[in-house]
Amino acid sequence: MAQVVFAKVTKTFLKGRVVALNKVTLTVPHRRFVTVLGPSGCGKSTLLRVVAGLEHPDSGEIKIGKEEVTFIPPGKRNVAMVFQNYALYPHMRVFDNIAVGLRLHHYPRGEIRKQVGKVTEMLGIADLLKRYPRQLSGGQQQRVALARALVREPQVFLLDEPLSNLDAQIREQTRAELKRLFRDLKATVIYVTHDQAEAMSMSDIVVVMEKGEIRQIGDPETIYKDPRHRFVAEFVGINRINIIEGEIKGKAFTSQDGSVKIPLKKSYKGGVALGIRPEAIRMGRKPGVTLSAQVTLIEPLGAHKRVFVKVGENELRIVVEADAKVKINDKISITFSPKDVFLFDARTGGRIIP
Amino acid sequence: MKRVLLIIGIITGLYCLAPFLWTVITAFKPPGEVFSLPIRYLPRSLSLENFIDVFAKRPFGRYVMNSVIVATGGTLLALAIASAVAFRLRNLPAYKALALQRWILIGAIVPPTLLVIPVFICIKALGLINNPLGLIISYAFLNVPFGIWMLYAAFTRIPKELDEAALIDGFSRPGILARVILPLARPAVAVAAALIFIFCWNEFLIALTLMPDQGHYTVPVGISMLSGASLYEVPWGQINAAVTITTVPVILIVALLQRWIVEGLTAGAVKG
Repeated sequence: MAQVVFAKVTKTFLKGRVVALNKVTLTVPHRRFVTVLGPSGCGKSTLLRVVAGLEHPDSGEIKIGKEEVTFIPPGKRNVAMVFQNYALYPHMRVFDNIAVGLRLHHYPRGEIRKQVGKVTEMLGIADLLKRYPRQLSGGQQQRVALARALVREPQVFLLDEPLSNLDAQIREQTRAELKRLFRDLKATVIYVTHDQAEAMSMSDIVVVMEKGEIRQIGDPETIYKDPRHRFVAEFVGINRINIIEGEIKGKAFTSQDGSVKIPLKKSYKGGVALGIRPEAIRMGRKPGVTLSAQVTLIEPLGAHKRVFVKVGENELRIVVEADAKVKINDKISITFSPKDVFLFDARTGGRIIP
Repeated sequence: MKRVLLIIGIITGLYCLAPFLWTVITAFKPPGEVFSLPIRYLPRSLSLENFIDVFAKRPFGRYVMNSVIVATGGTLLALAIASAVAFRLRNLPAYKALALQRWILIGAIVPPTLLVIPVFICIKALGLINNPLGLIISYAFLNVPFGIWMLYAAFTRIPKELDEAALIDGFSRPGILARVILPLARPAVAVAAALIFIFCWNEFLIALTLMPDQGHYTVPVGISMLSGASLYEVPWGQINAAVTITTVPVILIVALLQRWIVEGLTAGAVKG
């Protein structure tokens, strides 16, 4: 069993002025691919570094498997890490880069050669063993970094934005390969990224973090369909969610400028932020809530178009088919179902469940 | 324009090398010719007599040996201490490391001559007068600030992630320094080593103070003590031969380290 457990882990920097982790409690289950998603500075990398042993928490404890490892040095934990910039040893050949960890753990020589052969074969870099890292392409360096992690057969894999230094084209391909690789290995993986598409496409479980706190834990579908916090709704989704600030008066949501009115079954005191995903909005008059809008900008995206429209003072984004007939300054109607609307408390960001 | 620069370069080179050339030429003159008037700039015939005399009639081989031991030992000790300190400084926040370095640099600002008496008292207390170890410790002490300064600058350019990857791989801290940081900082290490070695090799005053026994003379002290049969006879031929020989190890060291130094100059040239 190699689950990773965080119990009320707090970590601050600069004498407490920066809180990277605020009483984080989280269980990464055995053999699951868990992605920690959040913007830069949300504490996600610190979370990873605490598991690696590169940072020690101010309070709380970490367990890997059944063992408490909070203050155990990195070399004594059975973890492997892939860094964003790969951190290959520039003065060592590929073989030594991969083998050095095994040597330090006193593996016999023949065993080392066998293991390195196995992982490099698996990753398709077996013919690069004699090269130096500087003689490799970015994608090849990335594989070497991955091989260095795999060869150790660790209890937990830690990946810190491993794809963000790759070109967009290779990135998507590597994303799929990584997913397949770790699924076949049945490994426990903690993967850190700021790219919601990576998080959604690769993981069993997504952990969304903001300002050192976990906003939501769930499988990708739940995170998208049932965000528990305004931040989660805004951060997840290829098309950024539309947010309209307003309040609920007499069982109807009214936007601040009064241009958007949506009937609701519920009343709520205080300011409310209404979220509606661009994909949930249709062009034209259909059953549901219909608003009149004016087109201000069109972004063709190939299969779709992203259309920016103005409803009163509010700018909304909607996604339409590529062949939809819209032009700038057109006056159009847009429709969505009240079921697709999320309501959040304007002050705390917490979801209001009707 | 190019030609003007070339001429300026040649003139500068000749100007810098002239005293050295004069030394070498004098060394190869037959002893009688050194004082001949009018001055003969190029010797009539080349002679190795001065060189033979230096080794045969004087314990000059002994001096060279002493110098090699002291300079090598001093350089290695200085680099060992400096690299350990620089490695530790690198893990501190930059403002703290710089503040500490300013204090350390005071050691490099004080002229070594001023430190002769305190150094002598310390080494005497350690009972290391006329012991090469005493001189090695003193030389290391004098060069550590410079070494730290040089190595810290090189170490901070190595990304921290490498240390972290090494920690996860299971390296100890000294292991990281020896097997990751120092190999990557090789050019800076080479430059520091060359400069510290040259300092140790040429140092006179402390060597004279700490090793007053003739058997322990280093080369500069030995050369200064070369004298003729009487107080009024200065064996210029032999002195120049000795000086010429003395430059050889320095040139060798620089040539040996050159590969690393040049490697350092081109390291950033290719993305990687």
